[in-house]
Amino acid sequence: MKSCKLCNNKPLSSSIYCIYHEIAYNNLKSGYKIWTDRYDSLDWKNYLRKLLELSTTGKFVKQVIMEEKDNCGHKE
Amino acid sequence: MKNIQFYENDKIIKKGYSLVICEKPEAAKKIAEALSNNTYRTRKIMDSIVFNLNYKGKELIICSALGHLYKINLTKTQSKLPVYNYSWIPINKPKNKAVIINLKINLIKLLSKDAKEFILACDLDQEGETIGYNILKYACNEKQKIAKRVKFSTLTEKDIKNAFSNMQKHIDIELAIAGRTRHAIDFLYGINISKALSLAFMSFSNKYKTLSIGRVQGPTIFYVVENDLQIETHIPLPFWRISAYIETAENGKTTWLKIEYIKEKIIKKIEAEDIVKNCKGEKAIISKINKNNFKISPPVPFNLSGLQKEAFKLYRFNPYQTLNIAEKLYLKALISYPRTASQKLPAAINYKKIISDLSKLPEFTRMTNSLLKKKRLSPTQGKISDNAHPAIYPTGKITKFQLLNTEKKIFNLIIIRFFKLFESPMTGKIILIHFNIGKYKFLSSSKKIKKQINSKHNEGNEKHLNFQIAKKFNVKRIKIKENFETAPRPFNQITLIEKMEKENIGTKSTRANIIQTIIDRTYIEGTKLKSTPLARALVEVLQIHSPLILSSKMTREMEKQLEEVENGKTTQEKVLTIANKNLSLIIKEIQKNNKSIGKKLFLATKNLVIIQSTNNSLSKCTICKKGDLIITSNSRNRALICSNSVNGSCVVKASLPRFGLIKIYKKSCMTCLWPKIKTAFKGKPWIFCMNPNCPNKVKRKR
Repeated sequence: MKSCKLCNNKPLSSSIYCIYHEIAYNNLKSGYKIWTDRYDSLDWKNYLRKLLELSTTGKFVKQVIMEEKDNCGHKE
Repeated sequence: MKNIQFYENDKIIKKGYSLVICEKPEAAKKIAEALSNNTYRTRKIMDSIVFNLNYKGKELIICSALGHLYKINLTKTQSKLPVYNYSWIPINKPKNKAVIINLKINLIKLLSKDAKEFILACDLDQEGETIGYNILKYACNEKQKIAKRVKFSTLTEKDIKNAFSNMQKHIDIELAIAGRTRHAIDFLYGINISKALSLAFMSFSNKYKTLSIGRVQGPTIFYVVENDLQIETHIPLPFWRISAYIETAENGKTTWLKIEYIKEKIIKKIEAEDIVKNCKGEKAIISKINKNNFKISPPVPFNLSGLQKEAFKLYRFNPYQTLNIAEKLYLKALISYPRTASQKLPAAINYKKIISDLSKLPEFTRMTNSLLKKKRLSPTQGKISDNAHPAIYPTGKITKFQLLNTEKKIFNLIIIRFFKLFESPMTGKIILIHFNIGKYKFLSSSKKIKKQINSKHNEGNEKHLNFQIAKKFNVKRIKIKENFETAPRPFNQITLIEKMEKENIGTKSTRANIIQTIIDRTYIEGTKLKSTPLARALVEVLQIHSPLILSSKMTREMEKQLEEVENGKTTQEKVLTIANKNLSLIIKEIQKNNKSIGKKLFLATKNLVIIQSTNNSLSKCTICKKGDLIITSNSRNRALICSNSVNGSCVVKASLPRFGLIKIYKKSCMTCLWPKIKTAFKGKPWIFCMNPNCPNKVKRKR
């Protein structure tokens, strides 16, 4: 049985992630838009690095970042 | 059953006495003491003390219950859900309690036979009225309509005598019916939904697991899960703040004063950098000075949630614990009735007498002396009122016996809060100085408390008083600080109660119990309340298939309807019909999606074991070499299992001795390779193989 790439939960049909990690991934993407707007310019990798350093970043977000870090698949 | 007549010193008391029914034995004793000036007689019948006294020419017999004597049960067991038929029966579980309850009921039945008058003296709230109503209905043979009611908020002599002089002709039947309806709805929801979920679990896994959820528990679990999800998927967004340091001179000394840019959050970095760039080389000029007086009123009287919050803040007592302690203090007549929402204290309680009575306590002499010097004593009052009881206050009574440490802490907290109510408000001044640096506005503020009680509020200084409009200052430094928006805070027991209050679910007396129940059922854990995978799975499943259980709206509406029953605006039957309709919808949805709900819950319980194993692993499993050995337990037994045994890939699973520290022995069993356990038996070390079918054990048995 297939499970989410980051936990034992069932993944959503259109994703590799479960509902929680999918929410975290979506927040990560929408957060990037806000961050680039506020910083004027910021590349994806720096954004992820900064989020990992912050203690208030959510646990699920950090797990998704670890997965996406080496993945340059973000096409925003 | 033999008809025992109540007599003392071989003297038969006239038949036709008044039977006073109290909620607890301690309350019965206090009432007997108060009404007879300690000249009451006692007799032990059926293992209970019964008090007999003469009050104003009336023969009184005072007996007590033990809280609820009756509970709701299904009329007949049926496998098809939902079930709606219920009846009230004597509490029959656990066995030892059932024996005592039965004796109590038989005693009241007996005493009620020769009574000509019935007086209900249970606690003055919905639960008290329900307890009394049930006793009068079932044990006293339908006497609820003719019973009289005494109402008091403290167990002091004055209050009790006053209550017996102003006895109400009837008990509050509508309040009792509302209480009975609440019990019925909670029972029907609990039993039907829990059973439906357990059956769903079984339909997928062929295993039985109790999955309980209730009408108020559902939304409460949902709040915690929702909040946790927000924390765990939180993206901190950046913003910036600018502060400048200006040079000021005071008494020949130069100091730097920090002033803040008027906008608290600058959401673009470039905007913040522009401001700093444009401010460079400019002077800070005072454009406006505002001085405003403010008043800090003393705190309001304690109601139950106020007391619970303060006890948690100061001593980390959980709300459930605080309520229990407060109830004990009430039964000792030291404080007024604690299950109250009121934040108001009526003058009739005689503030001065209470303060002068408490002045006998040496630790409060200084405070009481200063209060007793006041010409007029008028306490601060809060906004919330409660028809049944005033706010919590000390009665002025001092106990001869030593209080437990925890009781003393709560008692002192209530006394100190009572004294604080009579303090005059603190006044202070807030000074706001507006600066212009170039075209940008900056601000400096300071607070000064005139009456310096709380040093925390006294951070301000008087330097500003010398400042004048148009005065110029050198800007020594200007800097940008990068900040990030914080995630919501996890709930603790107090903030969760606050949330329940805000959403208007549960009652002041039940909220603490509900939180305790969902902790006991492993839906939430820790002091910072965190949802477990089981709670998450439950919420996830119910959100899809039966969102009504999680909805605060449904629970809130039901609370409203129960209030209407209490006020006589609607009937129990109407409310139960609506509740049953909702219930039937919920059950249908669960039954329709039986398999998928069962699967989800089964996986969640599996995850629970995996998480437990990573947190509490004793060692690696010696059989499968992959799983972790963990101890799982319920209230009666405990077992050692391999985390892989949950999905069937390992066989290690065995029960453990109920007591004693368990350690995994360094060597595994030579015969079967199962892990060995080291524990102690009667003080001696005991090492054994945990395999119940170990060939060595079988051989020894033979």
